Amino acid sequence: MIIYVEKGIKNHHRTKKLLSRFSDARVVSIQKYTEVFNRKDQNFRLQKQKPALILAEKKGVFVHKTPDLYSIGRKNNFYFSHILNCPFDCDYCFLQGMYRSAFYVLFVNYEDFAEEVLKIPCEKNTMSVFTGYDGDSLALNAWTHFWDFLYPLAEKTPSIEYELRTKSVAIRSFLHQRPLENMIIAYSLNPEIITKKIEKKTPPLSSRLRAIQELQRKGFSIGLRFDPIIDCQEFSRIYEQFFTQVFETIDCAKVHSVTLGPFRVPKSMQKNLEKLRPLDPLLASNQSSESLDFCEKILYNHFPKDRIFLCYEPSCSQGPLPVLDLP
Amino acid sequence: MQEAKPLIAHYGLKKVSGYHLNVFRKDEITLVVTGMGVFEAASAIGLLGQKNMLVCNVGVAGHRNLRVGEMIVAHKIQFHKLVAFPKLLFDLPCETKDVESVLWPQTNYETDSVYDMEAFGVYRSAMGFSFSEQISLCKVISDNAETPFTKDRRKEVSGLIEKNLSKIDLVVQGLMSLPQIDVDVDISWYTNKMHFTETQKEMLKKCFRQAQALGVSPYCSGKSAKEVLAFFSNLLGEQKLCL
Repeated sequence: MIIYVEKGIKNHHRTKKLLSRFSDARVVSIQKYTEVFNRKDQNFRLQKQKPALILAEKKGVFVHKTPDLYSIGRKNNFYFSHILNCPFDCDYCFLQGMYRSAFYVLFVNYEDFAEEVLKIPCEKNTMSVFTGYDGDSLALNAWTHFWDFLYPLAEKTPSIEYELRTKSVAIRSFLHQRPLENMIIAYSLNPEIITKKIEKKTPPLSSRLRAIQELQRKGFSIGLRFDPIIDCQEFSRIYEQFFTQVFETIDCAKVHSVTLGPFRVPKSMQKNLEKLRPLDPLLASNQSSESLDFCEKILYNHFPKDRIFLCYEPSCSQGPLPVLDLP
Repeated sequence: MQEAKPLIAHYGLKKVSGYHLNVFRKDEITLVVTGMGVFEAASAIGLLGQKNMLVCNVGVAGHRNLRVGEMIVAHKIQFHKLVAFPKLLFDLPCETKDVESVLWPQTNYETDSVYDMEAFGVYRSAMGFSFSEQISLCKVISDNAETPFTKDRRKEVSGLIEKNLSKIDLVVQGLMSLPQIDVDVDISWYTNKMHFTETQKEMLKKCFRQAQALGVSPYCSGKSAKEVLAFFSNLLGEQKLCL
């Protein structure tokens, strides 16, 4: 493995800990992570073959407002990214359209993120902070120990809600801890057949459901993220079976929040994605709004309205993806 | 040329005429003898440039204390204040080092870098055609503080490269194992029969790829470019993902 390390943080305690874990890694010293990450001469798909790790210091803006409709019930929604990219390889991931690099960037100065979060002027119990926007919150937790950082922060600031969005089932390291109501572990879920085909390198649905069961049993707050829903042939049958499997396994009454969203790619990234994945059936397929209506109805049968959050405008939910504009 | 001899023999390359530089080729492997110097190396790569070509630069270099005959692969290259980081996406058979390209032979080995005279030129020129991940720079140590490079030692260069052929070959194989990223489609079935503007050709290619991705036939009986594109618009606009 290759680990690029910014000169300025070579003595940071997290850098040292990580490098000691990978004693046989090739360590390359860099001035700034942007020397290696996201240069225009790179190819995301090629780098995904064997991503390197970049250890860096985050500077500038630490915390961002989330896009509209990115909410789980509170008025003020923010996100920060201690890590960019993730080890999973989902065909729909917008990061491959956003970055040219698939290398993982870990910003080791977690405390600076916390400091900025605490500076945000918000009334009590109105703020949610999302941590899995530019990468899976927990997938690389064994390296990053992000949980160990976030847990005391969440404990100290009970009026702020923190979401860890993940597909990872590596939960053993924190299962013994006292659950915090304001620390939500949000699982992205899709039917097994879709997971296998489109969410490459991710744990199977059955493993994710087992992890959720285990976490619920211990009392952790769980979020369910049906986002993105993937429209496909035999959609109704596949998703009906899927929702039955999910609701038979987990305790719906104890679910903190449920979100539903379509497969969507910002226009600016669509071209990049098509270039990177010219033969991708998902990008070529028609994703219709009826699929979302179908899921919406099922969810409203299982959860109260105030726990369901739609990541799209219900009135003008997503139409078919543009395939061709005729001259 | 000393560096090239063992590679020409190893890969069974034959001289190709028509170039002002020495170029050798067999099947998908082409070797160009760049000559000495960053700018010479850059122009030689430009001569052969093709979109998404895989580039492996093989040459000798000096280092203050690395053993003569040891091979390294560059993880960072430098030329004056310019710096670049070739990406290494496959298992390597040797150590990696910083490589500094210089204009004149170095004898004082100021830093821990490996000193050569071509790497940066090769890299920068190849970047005009390829991604950083498709370029590797292999350097075999020919001189160090104890064993400086002299004219008399030129003959040794072939031997140094020859001893590292298996390692060089692993790097070449590693490059070749990278997935193909450029998918070209043959639209001549349509373009031979009717006229498409350049824009329409690009749209047709996109449709072809989409049809291929979705496993549907890209052929229709349309009689004009407009008709064909309209066919695709209807066909693809409704296709659901098949699992």
